[in-house]
Parts: sequence; C-alpha cells; structure tokens
Amino acid sequence: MTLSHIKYLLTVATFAAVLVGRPANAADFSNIRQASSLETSLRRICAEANPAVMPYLLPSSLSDISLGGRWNHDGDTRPVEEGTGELSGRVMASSYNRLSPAITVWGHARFTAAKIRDVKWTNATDNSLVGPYVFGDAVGGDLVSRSYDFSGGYAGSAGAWTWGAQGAYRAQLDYRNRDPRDKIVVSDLNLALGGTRRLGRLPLAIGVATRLRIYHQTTDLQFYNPLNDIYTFALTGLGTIYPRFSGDDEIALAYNGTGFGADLTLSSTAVAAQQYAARISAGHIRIRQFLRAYNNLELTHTSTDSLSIQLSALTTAGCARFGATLRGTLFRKTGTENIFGTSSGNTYPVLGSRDNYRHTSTLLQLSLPGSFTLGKSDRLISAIGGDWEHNSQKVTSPHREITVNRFSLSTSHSWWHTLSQKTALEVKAEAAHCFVNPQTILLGNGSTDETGTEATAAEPGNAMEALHAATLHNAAVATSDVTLLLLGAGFRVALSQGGVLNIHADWRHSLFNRQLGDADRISLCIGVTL
Amino acid sequence: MKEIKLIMAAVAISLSAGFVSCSEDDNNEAELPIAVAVNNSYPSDFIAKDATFKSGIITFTELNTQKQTVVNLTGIDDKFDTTLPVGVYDYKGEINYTVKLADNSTKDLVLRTVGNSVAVSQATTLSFDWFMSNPSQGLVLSEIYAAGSFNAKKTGGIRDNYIRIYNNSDATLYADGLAICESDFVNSKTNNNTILTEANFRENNFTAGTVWVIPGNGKEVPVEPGKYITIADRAINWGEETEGGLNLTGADFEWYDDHKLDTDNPDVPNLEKWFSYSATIWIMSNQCNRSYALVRMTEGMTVDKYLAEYKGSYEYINSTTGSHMTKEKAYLIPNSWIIDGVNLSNAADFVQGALATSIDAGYAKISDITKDPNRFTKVFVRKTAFTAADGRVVLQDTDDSSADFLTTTAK
Repeated sequence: MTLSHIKYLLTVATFAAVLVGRPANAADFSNIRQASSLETSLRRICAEANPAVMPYLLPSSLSDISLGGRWNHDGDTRPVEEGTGELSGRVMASSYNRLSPAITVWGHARFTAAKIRDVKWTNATDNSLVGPYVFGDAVGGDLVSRSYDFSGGYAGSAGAWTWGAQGAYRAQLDYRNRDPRDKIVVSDLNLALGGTRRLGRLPLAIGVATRLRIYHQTTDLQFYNPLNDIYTFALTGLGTIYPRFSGDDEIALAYNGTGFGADLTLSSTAVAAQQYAARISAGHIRIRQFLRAYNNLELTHTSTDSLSIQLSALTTAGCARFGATLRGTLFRKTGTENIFGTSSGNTYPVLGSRDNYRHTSTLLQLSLPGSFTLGKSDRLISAIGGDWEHNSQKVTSPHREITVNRFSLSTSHSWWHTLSQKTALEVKAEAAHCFVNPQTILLGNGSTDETGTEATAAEPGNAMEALHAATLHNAAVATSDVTLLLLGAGFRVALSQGGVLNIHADWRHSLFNRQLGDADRISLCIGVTL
Repeated sequence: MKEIKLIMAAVAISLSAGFVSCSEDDNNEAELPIAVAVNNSYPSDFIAKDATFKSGIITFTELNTQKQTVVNLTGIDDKFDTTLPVGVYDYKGEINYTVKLADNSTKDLVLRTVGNSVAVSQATTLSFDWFMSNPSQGLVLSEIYAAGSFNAKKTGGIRDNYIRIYNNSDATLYADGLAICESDFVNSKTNNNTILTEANFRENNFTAGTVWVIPGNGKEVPVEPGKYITIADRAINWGEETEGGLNLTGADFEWYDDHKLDTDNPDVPNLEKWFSYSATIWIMSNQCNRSYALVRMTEGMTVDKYLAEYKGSYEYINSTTGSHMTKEKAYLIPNSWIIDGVNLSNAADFVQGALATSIDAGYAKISDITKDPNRFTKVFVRKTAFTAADGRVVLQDTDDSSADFLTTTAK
C-alpha cells in the first residue's frame, strides 16, 4: 500500500462526504450506538439483499473512514489453499447519507494489501467460488494480494413505494515473485435492483430485488527456472486430478462466471415495539474454467445454487429488547468435466462430459439476542445461538467423499459504557464450540497402482503422495472440533469539531483437535465516524 | 400480520420442497457406458484351430482421466462386445495360448495388440490387429545411454553416449551389416504431428533421421551368446574431462562425423555413416525422446542403393501450429528389416512412439516429467528374463519397452 493509495481513498471519502453533504447532526455516540443496535441489525438483514430497503436502515446520515490491520497465525488449522497465516492492512471509507426525506445514497471504498503465507495446491484465488477446479502444486509459497473494492447505491421513495439500485466492483491482483510464479487478476461486478411497498399502515414493507454478478479471473503461472521440476496438477476435488492437462508447463487459465439471484424481503420501516424481518434469497452462478494456452479450451464448469430463508423478530420489554432469528440455507454445487478427443492442430474436440463433483450443504441456525439498556451510560447486547449443518462433498470417479454433521453452540456479549460526555468504552467477548461428527471419509490411499476404477496417472510419485497428504490435511481441518474465544475492546472519543475517533482491537484464539494445533488473530482498527 | 406469517411459511415450505426435489432428481452417474463392438484380425500365419487359449486381457486407458477399463477375454474369437465410458483410449491386449509341436511338446506363445487415441463418443465398432509377440532369439538393443553423464556444473549432460547390442540367443551371431537408426519423429505431444505421406506411417516404415552401419562382410563382427558390443559417440575417457564421465575407450565401435566438433579414436573402428540429418555432428537426443532401431539391411544393400531407393521425405500437419509442412531430410526403413526397436520418452510427453506397435508397443521411460534435470546419468537397461541352464543371461523382450526396460545409473 503506497501513500498515493491512501491519499486516493481519503480523497474519495472526503469527496463523498462533501458531495452528499455533511450530516445534519454532528455525529455523537447515539448515532454509533444506533448503527450497532439490534434494531439496525434486523433491518440490515433485508437492506443487504434489497437496495430499496436502505432508506429504512438508519435514521440519520453516517460516514466512516478507517485504517486497519490484521495479523493471523493459522499454522495447520486452515486448508492448504488458504495458507498458514496472513498479515494485511486496509484503508476503508463508507458513507450513508440521507440527501432528503426521499433520497438516500450510500458508498463504500476499500483498499486491502495482504501477504498470505505458504499458500499451496492452488494457483487461483476465490477458491470457494472457482473450486474445486483449480490448478495446484506442492511447492506454492507466500502470496501477495492487492484488492480494491468500490460500491455505491441510490434509493428513492414516493408514497408507499421505494426503489433502489446498487453497484459493487472488486478488482484484485495476487502474485508471487518466485517459482511457481502466480499472477492472478480478478474482476468481480455485482449489480442489484429492488423495490418495496409499505403494507398499509403497518410499519412493514414487502419488497423484491434482483441481482446480477459478472465474475472474471485470469491466472498466469510461469517458471523462470529453465529446468523446472515443479509438477502442476489439474485438480478436480478431494485429491483427484485431471491427468491429461497436468504437467510442468506454464499455465494460462481463465474463469468466467455469470450469476443471478432474487430476493423477497419483509422489513420494518420504523422503530416500533415489535419489529420483524424476513428474507428469502435464491441464487445461481455458473463458473467456467478455460485453458487459454490450449486455444481457450473449456475444461470444466461448476453450477452453484443456493436458497436461504431467514426469519427474525424483535420485541421490547421495558428497557430490554429480545430477538429471535431462524435461518435455513440450502447449498448445492455440481462440477462437470469435459472429455476431449485427440487434438487436431490446436483444437480439441469435445467427446462428452461427466458430472463428477457434488457439494451440498444444509444449514439451520438459531440465534437469540437480547439488548439491555442499563441507565444512560451502559448497554449490554448478548446472544446465544446454535446451528447444525450437514455438509457433503463427493467425487464419483474415482470415488471420494467427505460427509460431516456439525453442531455449534455460541455466546457473545458486547458491553458499551459511556465514560464521559466525550469518551466511551466498548468491550466484547465471544465463545463458541463446534462439534463435528464425520459420517463418511473416503479419500483413497494415494496409490496409483490400483486397477479397475482407480486412476493410474503418470504423475511423479512424490507429488501424488504430497497431494494425498494435503487432501488428508484438509479433511482433518473439516472434521476437527473447534473452540473459539474472542476478546475485543474499543475506545471512542468525541472530537471537538464533530465526529468520533474510534480505536478498536480484538484477539481471537481458535483451538482445533486432531493434532492441528491452534490459531490466533489480532485485529486493530483506527477510524473516524462523521 | 397472521396472514403474512402464514403466507411466508407457505412460500418457504414450497421453495424448500422444490429445491430438495431438484437435488433428488439429479443423476449422480458420472459416466454412461457406450456400446463398443470389437472385430479381431489375426496374423496370416496364425491358425486359431491349432491354438489352445490360456488367458486373454485387454486394458483400455482413457487418456483424459487415465481411468482403466479391463476386459477379460474368454477365447480367441473373431469379435467381442464391451462397453466403455465416453473418452479417447489407448489399449493394450495380450492373449496367451499354446500350440502343440510336431514332437507333441507344447510351446507357449503370445498374441498382442496395441492401439492409440481411439475416440469413443457413441456406439462404435473397433478393429483390433493382433500380432505375434515372442521373446527375441537374436540380437537386441540391451542398453541405451542417451542422456549422458552430468557436466561439471551439474546443469546438463556430456556426450558420453553409447548403445549396446546383446546376443540373446544361444549361438554366435554376427553384427556387421547391422544398422543403428535414430528416428526422425520425436516422441512427445508437442511433436505429435499428423503424417500425411503414407510411406511414413509408422505401421508401414520407420522414418529415420540417422542410419549408421557396422562395417564388415557379415562374418567379421561376431557376438557370442550372452555377450554384447558397445558403440559409442566418442570413444574417449570422459572421466578425464569431467568427474563422473564414463571411460568409453574400450568401445567396440564409435560413430564419427568428419567434423571439428567430433574426435576419432584411431583404436576404435568407426561405423559407416549412410545418412544423418545433421550437417555437422550427430548427437543422441539427451531428452531421451526418440526411437532407436536395430536394422538388418537386406543382402546386397549398399549405401548408394539405399539412398537412391529409400528416400523418406514426407508431408505433415504441425501439431502446434496446424500448418501443412514438408520434411526433406529423412529416410525410410521397412519394418520388416527391423530386428529390434525401442521407443524412448518421458511420461508427461509421450503420445505415441516412432516405431510400429508390433515392434515396440510401449516406450521406455526416462522420467515422469519433461526435461527432468535428474535424467542425466540414467541409462536404459533391458531387464533379465531368466538365466539359462548354461549360465547365459536371457534378456526380456516382449516387444514392449514399457515392460522390458528399466533405468539405472550408468557405470
């Protein structure tokens, strides 16, 4: 991150603030408490899905600019594709402005610079999106990442109707300066359109929104060593490979994706004793993998479908508010590999295809938050929750499978204490434990000597053994019980010229069984809220 | 409010049901089988009624996924049916059978078949050509050292290359008149050109880039049973120049190009140079990705007659660019002249060898990757099949270098 980046984002934030006008009221603690309240969290459920709900999100304008940093030490607790640790810094500016009773605008800009340590077995980024079809090798190394995010939206209202539009764009560059030399470029565009209508005299609005996503990623893998011996596998999930296009040559890949979705929302439009939120979201995205060095051959594609239903309610009892959120999510990703004939010149005829990969997940979550206002200077927000997930990944040929059931219990507490007219303290603590019950773990034995249905690829034996070891490690991570503890503290100072200076730090410690060890994360953020 | 709750619940349930029913209806079967009918044709000198079938197996390997499908044969039939998933296949087949000899003893014999890149995308009929495959009773290529030893910096190889010809029989055989030929074709996927000239089809003739002949009148270079002769590039003591280099001063022959880049050991006879693609010197390909043939020229063949009658220029489609091209500098070796042949390659690059499949159904592998920096010092050595009663070592020769050769460190 260079000084020019910081200056650029400060300019954007300042410009946004000037463009939409300074907040009508100088920011004080009440605005910040309002933004972090249970009521706002409830309305945010629908606002994230439907831009037309944004006018109901906050009662007043709010802008924020911050600098942050994060240090992760993950060791063996993450999948091999996610590395063993990370050091990152970011600059972020966001603004929510009510230009008039009928017009609301919002914007967000963020620059993130990161170094991810010891990434292996992937030459792609956004692995959860483009996976399992990535290329990877056993060597890997540290990866440098630069990411630029911009988003903005506009919402208007007239009578009982509101409408809104939002656009978001992310550009990312990841690279490595030694063999295997990755250069990964991402372009990710998200657009949303929505509308709502208030239901008579009720403080509720029903809405509908539609989303479009256009995703593009290119990877160029080069080897400067003329005697390169790093073997790169075309991975197809759970330690299986596509032998024909694996090798030690340089690689040029591309992923193209188009996604769309729709949302139904029911949101509260005003602060009331009883508040409700409901959201039904459905989405689909198809990601195609191309080998650019083979005349843009389409090697594989994935299709992902998701359905999510969330119901939330909040009720008031004196100085306390109690809520309940029930959420169910269904997720399914299928992967298809194309089968090619003998090449003729630089074209590869497609003989057929096989649906060889499937990943499904069913998730149920229940959260019971409560907010307690204790006098004028204290507020406690606590929540307990639990969730259950059935998660299954399968490869048909050769047969591989990981199926697990996860059950988690969690509790979180956030205490706000106003120290004086100009200072406030916030302390946060969270604890969670996740129990994992593996149902089926079938990952082969790493041998290429099996006959019959087992693949007999002509890859270097050591590299295949390394791939099998990496697959076993990822399975151990997926089936490990986890205990999580988070402690955080924030200090806020009201500035004499308006605005609030925020300083926040937190530490998260995770403990894994299956001899994976533990992980730590420390985050620090300094910002100004206007 | 109650109405809204009921409506939402109904919508949620119906959407969930639809989603679940979609996933249940999905067909998880990854590969639907395709019907494949196979017609077998056997060599003209094979008499099926005289053969007693013992066992037979055909292995299909799908080139995209490397998944193997094995078909066990139940007899020596003219045809059989099987099913294969869609894909492009290499196949190898072997039928073991016995025949009764005149003295009522039995002899074990083998039929083999090999094919490459057969596409199966719909119901189809394949034709398998079977050929006799039996251990050689004559002279064979027993060692090929093409990679060379490490240079001083360990960054490449030196030219201490050699080829050994072994007498696998129980009688003294003569090596003079034999030719050692290196293929013009390269055994790699980047050079997997489509040959357009029929004379250069592998199953018709071997396309040679070099032809070196052992001089003599046919009775001057004896090779005793279980013994070999060594033919080197430069018959010098390479160890004096480079640590680890071989001492080849004891070679029986060397190939010498009359050029400043080559040296001539006066104590080692030279091969006769009939043809070489190189205008300077011939160096064995240290990537170990060409084929070598041991050829018995027909009686009375001279260099002039050979060069006049067996020119092998050909046309082809370049596999990388798709361009139509012509190769002038090449000569033909009829497959019937070849007494032994070996395809060399690495696993990452091999598609097909330059030799006919009846001469070499597979390839000897130098490494699993292209340009393996650790390939230097590795020599291809033919495996030992058994030790005869007279103590003579009989080398394995199934006309499949994948099975017949291993690599070891050259000494």
